[in-house]
Amino acid sequence: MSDNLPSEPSSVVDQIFEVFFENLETDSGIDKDSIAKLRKLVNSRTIDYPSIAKVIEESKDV
Amino acid sequence: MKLLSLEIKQVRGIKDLSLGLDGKNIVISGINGSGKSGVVDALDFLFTGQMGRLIGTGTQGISLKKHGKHIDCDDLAQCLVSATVMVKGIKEQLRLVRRFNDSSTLEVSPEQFTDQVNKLLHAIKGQHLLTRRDILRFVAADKNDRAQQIQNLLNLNEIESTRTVLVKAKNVYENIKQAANRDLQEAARQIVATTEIPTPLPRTLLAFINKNRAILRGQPFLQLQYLDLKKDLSRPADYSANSLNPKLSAIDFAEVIKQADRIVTEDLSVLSASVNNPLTKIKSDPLILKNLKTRRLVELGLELADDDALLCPLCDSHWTSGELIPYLTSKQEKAEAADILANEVNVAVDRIKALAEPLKAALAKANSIAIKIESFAESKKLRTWLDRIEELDDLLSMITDTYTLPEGVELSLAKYLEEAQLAVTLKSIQDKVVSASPSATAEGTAWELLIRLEENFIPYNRAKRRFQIARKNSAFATTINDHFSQAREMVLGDLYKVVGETFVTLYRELHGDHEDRFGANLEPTLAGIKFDVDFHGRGQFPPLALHSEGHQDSMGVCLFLALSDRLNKGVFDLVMLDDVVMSVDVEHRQKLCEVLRDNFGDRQFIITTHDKVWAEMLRTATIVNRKGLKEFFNWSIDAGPNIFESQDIWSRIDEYLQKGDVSGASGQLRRGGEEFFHSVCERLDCTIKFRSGGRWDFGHYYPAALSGLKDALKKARASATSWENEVRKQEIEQFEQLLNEAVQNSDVERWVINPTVHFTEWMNLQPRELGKVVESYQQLFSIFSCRAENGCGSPLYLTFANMKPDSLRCACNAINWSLIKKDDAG
Repeated sequence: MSDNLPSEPSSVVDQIFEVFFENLETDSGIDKDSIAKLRKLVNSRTIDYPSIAKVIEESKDV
Repeated sequence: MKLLSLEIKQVRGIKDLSLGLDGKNIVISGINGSGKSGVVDALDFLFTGQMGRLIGTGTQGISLKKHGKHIDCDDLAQCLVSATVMVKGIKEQLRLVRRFNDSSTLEVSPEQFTDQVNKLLHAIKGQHLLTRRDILRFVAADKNDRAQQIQNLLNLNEIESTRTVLVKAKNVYENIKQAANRDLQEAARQIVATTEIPTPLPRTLLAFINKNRAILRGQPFLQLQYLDLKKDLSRPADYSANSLNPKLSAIDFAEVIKQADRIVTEDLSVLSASVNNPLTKIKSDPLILKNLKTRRLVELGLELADDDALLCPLCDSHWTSGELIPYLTSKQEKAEAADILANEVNVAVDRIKALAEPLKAALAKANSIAIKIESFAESKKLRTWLDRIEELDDLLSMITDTYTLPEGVELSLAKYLEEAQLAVTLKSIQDKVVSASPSATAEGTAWELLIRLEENFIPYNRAKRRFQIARKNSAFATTINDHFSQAREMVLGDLYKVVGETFVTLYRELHGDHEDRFGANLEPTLAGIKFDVDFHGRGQFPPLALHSEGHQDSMGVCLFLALSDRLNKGVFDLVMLDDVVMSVDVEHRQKLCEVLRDNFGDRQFIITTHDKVWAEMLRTATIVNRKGLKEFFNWSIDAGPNIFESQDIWSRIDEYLQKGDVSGASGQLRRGGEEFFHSVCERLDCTIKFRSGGRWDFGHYYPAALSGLKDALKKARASATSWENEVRKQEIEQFEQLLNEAVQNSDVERWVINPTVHFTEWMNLQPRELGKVVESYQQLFSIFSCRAENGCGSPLYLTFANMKPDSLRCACNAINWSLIKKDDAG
């Protein structure tokens, strides 16, 4: 039995999304609800135009 | 992850094959068609559920299920690859199995590690294997294709599809904002036309309203309001909705002139070209138009398909797991160029509409006045122009719907938007209005102005609200796109910087003194990757431009190793190099061995090559031990490849002798002898007597190999004599003497006369007696290898120039004897 399970490697894709969200939260002026919705899209791997458009249209002023 | 053992059943050209690796490197050598790439394909399948060889350009009609399995096996459950692996952080050995009847499922035991292994393999997807085909894609591709290859390697397709979506959102919402702004400006301009206030402000508008209310003897408003401007006012007795007011009609006609003047200031030929040019480009490439037409369909397909889609959600076609989404994504990316052209057309059409629509509205109003005053001749002229503008409207709608123009038609705006006699026509109408209604009262004019302003406020407020929403959406879309681009550029920029530096280091090591000032530039561009390399201090150029094929190959290998080093180090240690040194010369192959040994000692390499000399070099450089050298030969469709592990035969024979199994030891000696001399014949380019069926045994291989070596030594001695190189000549003579002694000691000549007889005789010997025979054979075999002091012990081989043998060498170059006599040297 193992005591140190392998962690999921941080791929380049993951790194890009990490930096993206970090910057959005820090200095974009985008509301938290919208960031949470974007994060949900990224996590569920469903970033397409209709879903992004929905987040944009439901967003508050930047 | 490291590979401990591998079993392949009914896959590609392999029927049943087991390889023990123990986490160490192996080198599989063999001629083309010997089955070595089947091992690479099998591992590719085990790790990804796919075979890279069966995907991509030129593989239409080829599928994993039909062409990945062994051609004679119809039971897909029996076609499988299994392996025992060690994964970092897990103490237990894991067993992995993937079968062709369920290629998307990796069976992992113990089962509890299934998720971790799948995540690991998902992350490294494609990063474990470099083939010669990949090298060409890395190095020879243009920047967008190279980007695609490297993106595939880095699994960046998801990032690129996200980028495409965000760029599209940014452009779409920017266009909506611009259109909303135009509507707002147009609505504001109507207010200016009514009030004749050049820059209306709430304060000045309130003053305007109150001034007209005062004329109508009403109380002033305290603050600006947009509705019910005539509140508490009585309609003047002389006002009629159908009456004409010369003052106001003059304003309306001035508006027509103003709109016409806006068009006069435009260069209509340039504006026409801004639509015609992108349309011509679209027309010139039917694929662009097709991409535009299918774009929505592809987007819909991507929305509906899941990761492991086996069935196309649009047409119900069957797909191999994991292949549909990359296919649709690549189609979507190809449509990006078409999108750019379509956007150019849309922007130009919007500009034309921004000119034509206010003109049309003003003309319609002027025409209604002309009809009211029964100025029919002038109305006809205005109507004719309005008809032309409506015709333009239809044409523009067709353009934005289909991105085409009717055959032979080119957009010429002058035809629709220019009118020479406008001022004369409008003056004629105004004269009639003045003569028919000379005495409009101030009250009537004030009443009409308040009505008009109310009418102006409705579209203005609607446009203002739309613009505010559009501005908010556009700012949001721009912000997320910009932040995403920054994140992408930052992470990829850092990655490519490190990869570029490692690439340069590896390339310099590979090419030594010749390239000690070599440099390279690897950087992300908007949608591609720029890759320029130094050419002997003369500047940086694309690799394909000036470098030789061999240099390009070594660049591809170095780039892959640099990427692999950055991405997988410590996570996935297995690297497969499939026949990657085809165009690299002997010296640089030797260097590549050193590069692999010195920089990638912690990796497990599986290397295939058709070049046995390079395989020996890899052994000499300690990248692989004798046990790790596997030579595939005599492949057949029924049996798959035979594996020659001659390096191991002495220990195998010894095992049999220890057990007293003379029969087993004899069989190993005979089989080992055949395999060994088969290999020698290939390296020394020996001639073997023809035999129908193409099957040779010990009695055929040995004389040919001996004759080949003697012939090479004879030529080397003649060459040394011609160059008066006495030391070399003596070296060769000693070698010849050793060879003769070894031949005599082994008594091999007796055995080769009748292999069946000698094999039988061996079986009749006592273990100790057979041991002596084995010892003499071992000495004989060693003669065909490097015997120099501190030499590599690798088999000797010939090199060729102009199809003729020019030297006899070993992998470490301790033996490097020319075969060319002084008189024949060029």
